[in-house]
Amino acid sequence: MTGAQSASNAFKVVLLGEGRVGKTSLLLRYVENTFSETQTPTVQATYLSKRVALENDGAATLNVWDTAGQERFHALGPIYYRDADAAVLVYDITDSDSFDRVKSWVKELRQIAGSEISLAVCANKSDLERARKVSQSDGETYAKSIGAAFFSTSAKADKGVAQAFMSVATALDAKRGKSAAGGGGAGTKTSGVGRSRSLKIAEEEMKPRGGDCC
Amino acid sequence: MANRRPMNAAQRRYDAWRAALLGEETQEEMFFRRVAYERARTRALGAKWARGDDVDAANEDARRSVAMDVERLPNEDPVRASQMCVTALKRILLTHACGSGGKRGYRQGMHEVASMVLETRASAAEYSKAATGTVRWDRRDDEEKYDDGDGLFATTSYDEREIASAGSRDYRFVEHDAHALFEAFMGDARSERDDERLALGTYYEDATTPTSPICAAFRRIENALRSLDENLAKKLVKMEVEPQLYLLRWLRLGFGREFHRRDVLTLWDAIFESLSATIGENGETMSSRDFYEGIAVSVLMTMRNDILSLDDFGAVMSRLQNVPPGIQMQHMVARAKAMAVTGLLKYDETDGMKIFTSRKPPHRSSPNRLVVPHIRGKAPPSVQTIARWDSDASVDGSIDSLSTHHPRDRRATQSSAWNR
Repeated sequence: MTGAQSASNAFKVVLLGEGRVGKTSLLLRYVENTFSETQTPTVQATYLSKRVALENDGAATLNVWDTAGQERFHALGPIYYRDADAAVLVYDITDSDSFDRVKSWVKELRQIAGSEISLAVCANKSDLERARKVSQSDGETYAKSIGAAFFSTSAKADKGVAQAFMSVATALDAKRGKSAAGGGGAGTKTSGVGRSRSLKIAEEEMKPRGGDCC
Repeated sequence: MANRRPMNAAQRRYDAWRAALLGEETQEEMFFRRVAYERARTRALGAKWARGDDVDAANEDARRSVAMDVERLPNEDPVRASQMCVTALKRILLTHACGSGGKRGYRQGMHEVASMVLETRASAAEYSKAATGTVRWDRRDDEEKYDDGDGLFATTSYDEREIASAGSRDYRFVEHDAHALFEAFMGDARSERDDERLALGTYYEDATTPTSPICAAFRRIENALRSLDENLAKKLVKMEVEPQLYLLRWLRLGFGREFHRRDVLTLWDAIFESLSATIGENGETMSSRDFYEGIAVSVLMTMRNDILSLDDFGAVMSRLQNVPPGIQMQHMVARAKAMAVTGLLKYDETDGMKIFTSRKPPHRSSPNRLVVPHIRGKAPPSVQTIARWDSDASVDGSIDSLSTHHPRDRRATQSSAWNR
């Protein structure tokens, strides 16, 4: 990869989920390595960007739209999820409503953004194991059913956050590389053929830590 | 007795806000307003009693959202420190959501606006008639009567005799009055519709519908920016930085997150002052809505050099999300006033379409386009400006104190606005 190529290796990611599940906290932990107990609610959406060094010595830029969870999907406006490469859906393991909300977001997202978009699910607040309402296996099963990668995260304890974003970046990078290669002479429209809708992320690496990190 | 005590800064501010937002109220009007709030609040909170049967889903939704946001006020927000204030804030917002907020209900961001107003009212509270004497209104003994644990019920109301005798800054009516200020700021309850008057509620309308009033605001701001600084406007378009990406937060929160709290208060003083519409010695009028939106243009102009020097979407977005510190608020205010008075924010939608498609941009920027004179300072108009005016016989003579550039196409609209 040349420098020029990697500079354009940017991906648009949108963070979605119910209010107060920790979307902003996850992102701030990842981008700035900070955490606040009293994170203020996001109004509409906030944009943050991070350059990621990939394991294959390449690099990617994640341009993340952190959205207001309390906005309904349609009120948010397509500007945030239009052309998104990936959606990271976040729920709070201590709040089963927020898990249900992820399911409804996915349905809407599918209708509007199509099946092109890669999905990842973050089960956040894993440090609050005692108050857990959504089991790890429910989360994993659901994620699998929609072809999404699953991550158990805690922005507060800094568990699984970097891994989640890194995996998203790696998977998007691989996908783009593949679709570019596969589409070689077959015209410009390679989408849908070269792109798999699921994020085939190095789940083997995640497994040992996934279940019992907290 | 209380009247003779010198007013502190907080009281002066509250009095000014109250006068601007509520007008001059007689004792009787104040009484009815406060009683009306008690009733509206009881209705809004009362819906909860029906839980389990047919709970009004919208009310339940509002209750949940309000609680979620109020509990996450910024650390530096003084309202956070008092459970009493937090509770009052929830009730104010829920009453709004279930009452004059109408279909829109509660929307995220309203909590920070209401919090600012509540804090201002609370800081001005007077205790002269309080049986408990010197206790702050929010740390009183009967606190538990207000808060049944859930934090949303009002089980205590004042009897009408108490309300009738209370003064305008009486500590017992902090919540009532804060609600009234908030409502007036939102502007939903106004019977006569006046599009030129700032009504914050309109910015909470759905931003995805092009006909929505907030989208009209985006167009006015974009258009004004284009007339003042074409390069900057072009740059934003080129970078695909659409107005809703940054303007929504600015406009919905009264710029509350963009500046230091002290500056926000100064700005709000000016915003409320603008509601009275007449400024300057010559009695020039300006639309408070135009002034408010002019602030947004003004903020963009202060970031001009940064934005022009940045070359990717992300960097520009970051700049727009983080207004640089050290802004001279008085200067921003003066600039926005100048824009409002000269009709820079006026934008005829149909005319605008023509500009977009077939005409050249309305105005060639001149080298000194960034210089907008202070209204109060009555800076003399620039030579060029006078020359332009001289050559244009249709221009109203009353413009003499202003030299902000404006699109030629706007002149007609502008004069008629002044003559109103």
